[in-house]
Order: sequence, then structure tokens, then C-alpha cells
Amino acid sequence: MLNISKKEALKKLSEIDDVIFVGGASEYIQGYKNELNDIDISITNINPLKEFGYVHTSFDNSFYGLSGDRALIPLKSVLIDIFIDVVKPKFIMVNGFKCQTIESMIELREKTLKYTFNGSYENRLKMIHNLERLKNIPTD
Amino acid sequence: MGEFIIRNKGFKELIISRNYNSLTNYSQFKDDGYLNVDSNPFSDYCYQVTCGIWQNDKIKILSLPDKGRLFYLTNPNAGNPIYSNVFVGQMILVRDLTDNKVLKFNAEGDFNNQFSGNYLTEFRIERFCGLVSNNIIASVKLNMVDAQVSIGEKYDLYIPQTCSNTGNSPTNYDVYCTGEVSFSFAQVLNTNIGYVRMTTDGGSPEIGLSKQNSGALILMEIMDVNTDLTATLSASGISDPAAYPYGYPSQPVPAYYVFQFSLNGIDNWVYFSLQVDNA
Repeated sequence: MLNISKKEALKKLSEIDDVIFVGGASEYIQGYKNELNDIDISITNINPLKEFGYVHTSFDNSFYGLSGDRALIPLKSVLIDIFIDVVKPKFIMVNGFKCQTIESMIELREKTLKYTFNGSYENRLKMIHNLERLKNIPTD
Repeated sequence: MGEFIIRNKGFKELIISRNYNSLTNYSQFKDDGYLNVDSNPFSDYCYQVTCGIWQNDKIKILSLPDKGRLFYLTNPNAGNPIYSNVFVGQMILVRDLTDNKVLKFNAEGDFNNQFSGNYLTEFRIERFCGLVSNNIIASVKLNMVDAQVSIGEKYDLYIPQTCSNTGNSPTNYDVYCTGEVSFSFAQVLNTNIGYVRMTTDGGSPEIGLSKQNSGALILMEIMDVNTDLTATLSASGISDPAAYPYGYPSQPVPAYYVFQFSLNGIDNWVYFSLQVDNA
């Protein structure tokens, strides 16, 4: 697997036309978060990601309205957390990075909370707090 | 009088080649087919179903393989997996198929249906939008290659894994396990001279190989035997906390790679295999 820093990974991912940064990664790029933990991305096909390393696939149907197809690339510096979806989230361009809009994140989390009932109590609580935080972000 | 419209059903063949180890005893947890992985013709066929409401997309099992056995996961995303035999006429939601573990092929079948050696087996499926046929039938042909018959040497590699069940996994699942091992073919084969190429990409959803400081392995790419590699494990799942760490995903599907070795990188290629599992 590639041995690169978080920021190098962000830059290299942004060069893949199909990649949209979502969730916390999008917030970080847009300046709404100070820390970058995982790099969350949405993509329609994982093949271009194989240049980063082996792509581990998984399934998680807890995000309402998304396909549930997930993948992970555990780089040494950062985990690339992948949503494989034909339908792309709404995005804006920020300094050359395609970033999911805050409105799109709020919409997804609201649907997820409304229609999905699996997952732990702690996870659900975390999602509610996260939703409230997103709603308090001042956007144009 | 109304007009007759005769519609021929579309038909296509999906060919999947896989290696398996016939010396392994029957287990419902074994998965030789990896039917539903990315860029696999089976997955491509299933994903092409479009009903408008994707939650209604289904495939119907028209026939079962004459050798080996298809299994169906009865409790996707819920604790330790429980498998049942697939039956003719069964309708399976595509959204369930997107989980790699929902439908799988076991080369050894079960006690009354065990096969070994190299063989071809086939089953048929049809696409549906809810109860309406999409008019395309597919024959899934599995070209099963017995690693024990075809391959000179078999090597094992184990990845130590660490798991957390704090509900803080990358997915919304409760448990996340990860691990990594660095190695070279020189260490595996005990020689510093020669070349290696991968003939079957045997990575499983949870375990796979990459080149160090580079990407995933590429089929038939010739590598120096001293090439440094990294084996990674990454698995998430729901597990009964009482069962942790013994429940899913602490038993990930092993990766089973088939390589060839050549002294000059040109000819006299000799098969060997490498199974990568969690320690």
C-alpha cells in the first residue's frame, strides 16, 4: 500500500475525477472541522483506488438511501473510508476538491436516523449529536 | 385481433475462475466462489438490475450447480453467520447480494456433494424487478481449480489482528478488526533470486495483498522475488458483545492467492500458492 501522509492522500484522491469527499473529510476541507480523522469518500467504482493498496470491501446498510456497499483502504497514516454509490451526493468545489454539501450531509443523517434502527445506542447518540452540530454550521 | 409480440429472453454467460483447497474439510463457513465481489461478472450482472425502486431488484435461482453447493446467509449483518442451502426458485434481493457473504459457493459442497480436482460447474439465475422478469437469464459458470492438484507448494501467512467493539468502527457496526504484516516472496520461498507473478487474485473482502509503497497486486505483473509486500486485514461487523471477540468479524475469510515463480522471469514458471489468514 502507498506510504503517504494524510494530506498527500487527500491530494491524490482529489485527482480521481469520480471521487467526492463526504462526511468529516468534506467538513475538514471546507474548514468546518480542525481535525482530519478518516478520509471519507464517495465513488461509483473502486478500480481507480487500487493504486492506493488492497481495497477491502464490506456492507453496511445503516445509511438509508445509499447502496450499503462500502470499502476500506487502511493506509499507515489514515484510513480511507469508501461509500460505493452510483448516485453521487450533492457537492461543491472547494480549492479543487469535490466536497459533499452540508445540506446533503444533514439530509442523509436525518434519513438514516429516521429509517435505520440497527447499530448501537452509543452510535445513534453520536449521530444525533453530529446532526445537531451540522445544523448549527452557518452556510450561505 | 391483437398483435403477438414474441420476446426472446436475453441470455449471457458469466465465467468465474477460482482456486480452492480440496484438502480442507467441509464447512458451511468456507467460501470458494467469492461470487459477489467488485468487478466480478456476477456482481456486474446483479447490479445492472434497475427497477426504479432499487430495493425491489431481485435475482431468481433457476438451477443449482451440479457440483459443489450454493449457500445463503440467513442473518446478514446480525451476529455470527448462519447459512442455509439455496433452493431453486429462491428470489434474492440484490440489496442482500451486495453483502459479499449472502450468497456463496462452496467447492466441497456438503457431506453428500463433495468434489475435488479441477472442474467446471454451472448454475442459472434470472433478473427480476420485483415480480417482473427483466428478460435476461445468466448462466454462472464456475471454473474451479484445485490448488492441491495444480500447485507445487502451498505457503501460509498469518496476520495478527486487533479489534475494538466500542461502536467506533468506520462503519456503523460494532466491531472493527485490523492488522498488517510485511513480507517478501524471498522470505516465503527462501531464495533471493527469481521472479514472481500473480495468476489468481485471491483477495477476500477482509484480507488482501499490496506492494509496499504501491498499490494492490496486478494480475500477471512480473515482480522481483525481493519485492516487499504488505498483507492487510480490515473487517467490520456486528457482534453480540457477549460473544466478542469470538463472533463475526473475528473469523474473516482467508485470502487464497496463486502465484508462479521463474528463475529468469521468462519461462519455466512453477505454481505456488499463498494463503493469508488472521492469526
